[in-house]
Amino acid sequence: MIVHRLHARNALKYAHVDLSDLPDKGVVLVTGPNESGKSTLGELLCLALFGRTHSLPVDRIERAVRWNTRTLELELELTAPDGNRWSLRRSLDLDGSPSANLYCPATGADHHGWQPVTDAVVDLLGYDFDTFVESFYLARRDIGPPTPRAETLKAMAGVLPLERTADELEARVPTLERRSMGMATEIEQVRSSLAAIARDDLLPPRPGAEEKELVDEVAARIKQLEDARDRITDRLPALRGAVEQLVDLLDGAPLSRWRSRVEALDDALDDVESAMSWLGYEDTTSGTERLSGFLDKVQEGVESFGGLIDKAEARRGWIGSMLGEAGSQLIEGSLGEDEDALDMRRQLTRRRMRLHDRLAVGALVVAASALAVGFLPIENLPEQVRLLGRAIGTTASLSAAAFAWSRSGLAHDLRDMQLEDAELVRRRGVLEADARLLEGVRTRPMPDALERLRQLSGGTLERDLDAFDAGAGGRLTRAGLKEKLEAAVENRMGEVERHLAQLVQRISSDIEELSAIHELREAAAMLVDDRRQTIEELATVELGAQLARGAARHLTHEFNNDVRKGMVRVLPSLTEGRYQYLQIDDDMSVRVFSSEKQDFVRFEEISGGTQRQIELATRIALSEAVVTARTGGPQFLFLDEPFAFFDATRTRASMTALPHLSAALPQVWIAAQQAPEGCDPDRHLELSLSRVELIDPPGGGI
Amino acid sequence: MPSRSSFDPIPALAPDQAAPVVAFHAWCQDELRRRRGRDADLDPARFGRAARLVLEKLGAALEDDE
Repeated sequence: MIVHRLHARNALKYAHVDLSDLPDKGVVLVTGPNESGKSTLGELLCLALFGRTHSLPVDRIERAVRWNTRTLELELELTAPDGNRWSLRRSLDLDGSPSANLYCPATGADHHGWQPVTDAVVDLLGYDFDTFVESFYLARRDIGPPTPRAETLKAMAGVLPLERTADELEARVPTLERRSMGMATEIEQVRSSLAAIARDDLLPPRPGAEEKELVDEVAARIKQLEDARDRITDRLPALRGAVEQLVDLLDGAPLSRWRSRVEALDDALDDVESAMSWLGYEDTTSGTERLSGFLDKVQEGVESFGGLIDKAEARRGWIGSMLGEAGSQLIEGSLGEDEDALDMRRQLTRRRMRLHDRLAVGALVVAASALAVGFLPIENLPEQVRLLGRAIGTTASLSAAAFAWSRSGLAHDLRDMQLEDAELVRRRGVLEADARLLEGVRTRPMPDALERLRQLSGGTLERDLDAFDAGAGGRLTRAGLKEKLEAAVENRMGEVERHLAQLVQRISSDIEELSAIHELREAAAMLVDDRRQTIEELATVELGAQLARGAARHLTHEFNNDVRKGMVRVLPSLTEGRYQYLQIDDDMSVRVFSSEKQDFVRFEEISGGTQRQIELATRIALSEAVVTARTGGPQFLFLDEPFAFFDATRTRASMTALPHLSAALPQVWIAAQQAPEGCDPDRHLELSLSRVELIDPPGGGI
Repeated sequence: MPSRSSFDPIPALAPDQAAPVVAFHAWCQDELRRRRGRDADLDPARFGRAARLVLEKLGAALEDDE
């Protein structure tokens, strides 16, 4: 930023200031004794740009209004880093509100209001008040070693926000570490509590398993036990019912009911046993073993009875076949077949007897006729005919006799057949009686069915019945057995119920313990998860701090490089070659390279005058770096008493060198008690103690 | 508007951010490239979260902010 014109009314000590046509390049020298208003010009520039000065508190800025007046006016014409010319006005009225306006004729940009204009100036110039007073504006009181200004230098380099962020993040680290450690302790405590409960019988150890998996595992185990308990509790009445129903069958029931009841009891027992087997307890099924044993024996008896019934039905089928019943399979040698064969034989015999009768009669007729011819005195009958008649008659008589004999044989056969038929009728009767006994045997109650089987003809199933009675089946039919069995079954069922009640109690107790484990494991899982997140947050915060710190170091390094480059050029000129290099550390402490000592020396080790030269050189180099880093355009410098501790030679050398040190800083305002001997400023403003109007060039005031 | 690769874990900046924000963002991208080259265990997602944390502390407006 370059100042072209400064106009002020009733500002600080001045009634009227109007400095116009200020040179873009070169030195504007302001000289005068103490209290003559040299520093005031710098403060007016500050007040115009930022609405404040470094000598007045921000909240008492109305003190800038000249005593005995009410309204302050300021006007500044400048070229901003954007290359445009801007007009900046501020007005401070003790009876009203402060006002301000920033206007660019070239672009039409227009800002109003005291603070909005200040904000627009900061945006336009690329630096704020603090950066301005620490770089481009060297006030008299600021002269001193640069080290204490490290914070400001960091702000200039843009490092401060990063360092503050890094500090803030690093400050969070101990808290996060403590939280993580606290969580680790809590996790250990929870795990110790879990180890104290240790139910390896219910939950086998799972080394390496995730906490979340363990939580799910316990929940699944609890669910399994609850299901088993509910199933056992629910099925117990069904089991008792099935047992009682089975015992009731001893009063007499068909095979199908035996089987369905046995099956029902088996299912009920299976249900209970499978529920128990879910539990995984080692001794769970011992309580039902005796009941299972009873069921096995009943089942064996029923199956034995079933075998008998199967055989009886097979016998009934055979009888049907023997009798040739409709729908039954015909078998060779069946009674029906025998009867049919006998009938056919009888009919054939009868037909043959009738034939023999006819043949015998015929033969007798022929024999009578022929014998009549042979023996009757018939006249004129040749002898040969008579002989033939006798022969035929004899033969026919013999044939008739033969037929009669044969017929008597057939009659004998017929009598035999009658006997055979009687036998067949008897056999049919026996079979039909057996068939009646076997009719519906499967659906008859067991005792009735067994009694019928015993009545079968010829002891057909006698051996099977004996085996049944002697084996498992006999237990189901023994007299007085029902009462005994009822007592036994009641006894066994009672054992089962007691065992299951104990089991349910044990399950409930285990569920309670598992619920406690579940809660602890949930707490552990949550803690592990929280701790994982905390560790991740810690790692992120540490990395964030590391990144902010790294970026800050990088920016410091870049800024320092710019400053160093400037120093290499500026420092020898201002120290007449005695000091050539400046080293600014990351913490912004300063050391300079002494050509005489051929080494870096600390700032505090060098003389006061040289310190001021270095301070001035540092200011210039910093200002140049800020221009490079922040503004990018040509910038004015305001140096208030920069040569205060310089001897005449140094003052002259510095005064000569200053306008040529940096192309980035072409306009240099210098306030000094006196004009150094031999200097030739581009504008010289001479002040006095009594002067309250400063108009330059003369006659240029408004 | 700054473009952002879909593999870039560092959130993109909204336009017109303060100088320290822009400087940090640029340095962070360079740093990520450097670490990718030398650190086999680099966790880019964590790097992105750390960068976002700093950017948020610096008051940066990010492209994916609501």
